[in-house]
Amino acid sequence: MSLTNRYGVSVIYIVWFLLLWLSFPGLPVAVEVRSIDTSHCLKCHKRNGKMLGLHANQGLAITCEDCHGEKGKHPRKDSKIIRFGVESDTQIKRQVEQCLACHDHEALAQALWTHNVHSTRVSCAQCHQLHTETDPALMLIGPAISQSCVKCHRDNH
Amino acid sequence: MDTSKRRFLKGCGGVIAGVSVYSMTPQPLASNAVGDSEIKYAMLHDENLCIGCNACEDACREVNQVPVGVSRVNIIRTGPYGEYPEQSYRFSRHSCQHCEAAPCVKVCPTGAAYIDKDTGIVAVNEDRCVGCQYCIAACPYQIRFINPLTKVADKCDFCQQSQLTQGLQPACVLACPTEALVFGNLKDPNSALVKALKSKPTYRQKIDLGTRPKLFHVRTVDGEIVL
Repeated sequence: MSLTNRYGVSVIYIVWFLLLWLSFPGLPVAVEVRSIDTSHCLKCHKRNGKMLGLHANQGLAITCEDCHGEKGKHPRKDSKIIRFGVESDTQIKRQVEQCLACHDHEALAQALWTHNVHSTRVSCAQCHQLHTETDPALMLIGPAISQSCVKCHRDNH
Repeated sequence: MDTSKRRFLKGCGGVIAGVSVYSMTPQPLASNAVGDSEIKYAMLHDENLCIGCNACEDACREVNQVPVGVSRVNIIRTGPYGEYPEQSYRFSRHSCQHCEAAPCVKVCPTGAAYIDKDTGIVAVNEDRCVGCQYCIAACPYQIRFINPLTKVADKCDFCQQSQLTQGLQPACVLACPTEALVFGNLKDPNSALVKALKSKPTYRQKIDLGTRPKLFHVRTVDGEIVL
């Protein structure tokens, strides 16, 4: 069978297009893309619209597992998935640990000293929105900063 | 004879003019220490309850229209003490101590700095202040400043004009979320202040200078001993 016959030419064309497509940068198959968009979690978690609660900006190169931990046997059985926020059933210590895996505590202390005295008692999500496009906690200026302390400390006193 | 008569009459005229002018001038407000009033205001800062949130400073700034860049009250933060994540800080209130023997009042040449006889508050009469800054130099606690807007010496007056006249506690006391600040009358044995002073060990700053300050502190128990 010669390559010049009808089938041979078609095969060559297909191979040539395939190679061209694969070599093109920015295509999901060609490079490993880490994005929430491509996560297999979304197969279930976005089926009926939005995910529960506030989630990270989808433009960031982080995946669901980066923050929430390994999927384990979820959803069939109990798993160690980490949930963030005030009403989370994950221990505060575990939540903070997960954030500190990337965020350096010294850098955080430099940004604001209060990080040093809350790290074992308050989860990050109680003050911050985690990896959203804009975090209201970072926008606070003047008396609004002290009022954010007052909000909790007046109740707890 | 004529000259002595003239001199005598001149002298009499001078004395009469002097007496009349003197009687027209109001007494300096700083005149002799504190009277026998039933009120003597003081404040207690419990450094163990303080969380260093600065709500007091913000409230003071708003209520007393203190411009940005200067402040009547500061919470001085030192630390961190200990190893992360078990760290702690110390907070100390830096504001007018309302001394019974106030050096600022003693040095003021115009009587602008005075001790209010009725309340024991060390206050500033803005109309009398000429901005000479003697008081700023004299204050051993370094809490006085020249208000950049009014150009007169300014400092904490326990919100004498802004809050006390309306029957309210000072703004910083109301703003404190942890009730670390207690304000009250030292002469009232039932006041929260006197009860707190009698139940907790307190200290005052630089008492060895003989200033007899009326800002009390409860020393923090957190952190290491600092020499």
